[in-house]
Amino acid sequence: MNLKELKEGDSAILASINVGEDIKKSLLLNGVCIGSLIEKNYSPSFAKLCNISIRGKMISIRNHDAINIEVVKFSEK
Amino acid sequence: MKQLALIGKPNSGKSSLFNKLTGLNQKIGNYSGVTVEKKSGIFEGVKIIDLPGLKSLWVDSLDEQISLREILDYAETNSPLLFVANGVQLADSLLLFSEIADLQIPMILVINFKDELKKSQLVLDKEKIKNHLGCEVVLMNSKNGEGLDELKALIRENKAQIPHTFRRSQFEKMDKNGFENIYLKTIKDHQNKFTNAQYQLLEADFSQRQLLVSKITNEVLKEDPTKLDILASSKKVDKILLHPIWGMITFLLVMLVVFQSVFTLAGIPMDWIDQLFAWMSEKANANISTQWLASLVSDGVLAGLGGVLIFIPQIAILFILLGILENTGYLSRISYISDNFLQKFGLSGKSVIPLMSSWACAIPAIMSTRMIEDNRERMAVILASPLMTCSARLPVYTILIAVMFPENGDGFINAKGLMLFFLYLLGLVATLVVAWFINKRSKFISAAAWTLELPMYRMPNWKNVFYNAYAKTKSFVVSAGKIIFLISVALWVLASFSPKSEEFIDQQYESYISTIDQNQEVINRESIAIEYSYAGYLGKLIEPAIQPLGYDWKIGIALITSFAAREVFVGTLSTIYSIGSEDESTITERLRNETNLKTGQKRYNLATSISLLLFYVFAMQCMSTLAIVRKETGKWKYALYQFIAMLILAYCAALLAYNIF
Repeated sequence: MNLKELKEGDSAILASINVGEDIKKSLLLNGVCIGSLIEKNYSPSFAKLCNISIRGKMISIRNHDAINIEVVKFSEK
Repeated sequence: MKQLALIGKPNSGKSSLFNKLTGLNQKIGNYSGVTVEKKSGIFEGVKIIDLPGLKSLWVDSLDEQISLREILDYAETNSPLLFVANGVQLADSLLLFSEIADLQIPMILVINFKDELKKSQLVLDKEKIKNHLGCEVVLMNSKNGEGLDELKALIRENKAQIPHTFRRSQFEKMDKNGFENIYLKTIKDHQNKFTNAQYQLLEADFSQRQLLVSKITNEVLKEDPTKLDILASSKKVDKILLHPIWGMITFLLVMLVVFQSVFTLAGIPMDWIDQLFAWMSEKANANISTQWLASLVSDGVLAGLGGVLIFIPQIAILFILLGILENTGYLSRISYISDNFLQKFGLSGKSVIPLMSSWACAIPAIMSTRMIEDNRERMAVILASPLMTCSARLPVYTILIAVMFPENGDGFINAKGLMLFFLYLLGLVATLVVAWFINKRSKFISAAAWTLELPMYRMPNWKNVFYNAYAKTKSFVVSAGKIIFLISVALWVLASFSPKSEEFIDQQYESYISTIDQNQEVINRESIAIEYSYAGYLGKLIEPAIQPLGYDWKIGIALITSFAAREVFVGTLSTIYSIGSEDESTITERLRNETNLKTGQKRYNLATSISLLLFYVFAMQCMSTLAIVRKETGKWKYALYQFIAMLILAYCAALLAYNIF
């Protein structure tokens, strides 16, 4: 499943990040990389943004990037 | 002089700590990018430098590049750094700390937001973290100064130490100079285009750093941070403020309250200032025996200054309200809810902060575009943001709206407030359309990367909110006041003296009296005298160009002088009209009573007032903004294009409005 499909309140481990180098770098500098544990936050559809929290930080990613980030739900591991 | 720079991730409380240390009052806000250039102050003979926050040494934006250059200089000179970490995001802050530690710069680590750590039930073992990192650690709360004495003592005793390295030795294993040749070289070279190879290096390096940092945080924090949700209350609030309906309603209400407050709350103190200047003018005329001096003081200096100082309450209220929005973290939410909409104009949510700052002043707004990583977006915001309604337009709008709507109106929502709201909206629409056009035509390359950090909601630091509002208002008054004082005196000279004789002016007045009919309002002799003064000739010189817009030579003088700064328009009109009038009525009354000598009708009728308002919505009448555009773009041609394009836009809009109404 991808990051966009994750439900609000669910935690997941990032499995792959198939986005451009610039966005990968931006995510990495915010601590978002393969293996990171994230939690999906409230993400209203009108904004077309995906909200996650990671290590006490809340970060928004555009939906078109979020669908290219594969995750594994934490409870499934 | 010894120096010490404050460095850390954005929104870690550096500026707040800087203010506590130096007693200066830096601009502080609860969003990334508040400090866009380095600021300095003195603490007991040590120069303290506040650098823009940076996420990593792998910098993106211009403000981060300033910090990187400074850090690399510090590494060469072995000068100390004060690293400010956000206590509730310690792992995140320590990632950056690890990168700087590898540069072998002496450091003191300040772990800020002690109060929030406590609230989150996190207990930090200070001695353990000190041992892990190999440098002094201070736990503090920069908002109330807790821990400040300990930090001051460490600075006094010069206790900054070179911390243990994190990854440096790994690079040196590969090659003796591997850290410089591989790691630092890539950091310095990557800024133009980020390649896959560079990403590989960054990813490998960051994965290792994250492991090392996690190991430290797991040991020094007594509770597992992953089991605690320190963001719980912010998440709850976000469910309302980011909601498609409630969020939008809140946003519109907040904006409406801001604009209505600017008018209604400021009304009473504005009346006081108005009455004070009228009283001072009356006293000057009564007590200064030399007629020309009394006229200079009353009609020149006091009229000009009073015309601008009256707007202090409005500007202060605007700055206080914007300060509260910044401090609470709501501005970032505005970025969030506006991102999708702004994308239609080639912008992103990150443009909102510079654009909203333009409502206060385009200068800091243009400077704050340095935090926008995308060059194309940044240029579009720089060139379009002066169309947003800045505080300098407020005096012009207030006067003209007051002339258009003589009745005060009852209630919180009235015609004046709605008109002001419309003008702000028009400025916003013009900004977006121009930004869209620039984006379409721009040759700058757009970087697709976009992520946004939403800070935790915090109560505003009231002292900082009020002090920032005071500092900005003072800056407005001082910078505008100097120009206005000089222009007021110069205008008084130009308007009080004429190349024609007194007899000639008497003849012109008699000639005017003999031509008017009974229904026309009779004007006094002084109005005719101004027409034949040096100022009158200057205004008449440009009158043919502005007549199609409904303006006369008096407005022409004000347009010329306000090319320096928009707010000068009001001071100029105050000076011109108080010279031509014997009563001490307010500038608004004077404008309302002004008569068109040719038609006998009111000069400031609906068509002229709207035409003037639109001219000021679109015209770039601010020399300081042009200077900052040159500074930020590096070329005069952008400032020149901007000036000409906005002037053409203003002229066309004013011409259209005058002919329609």
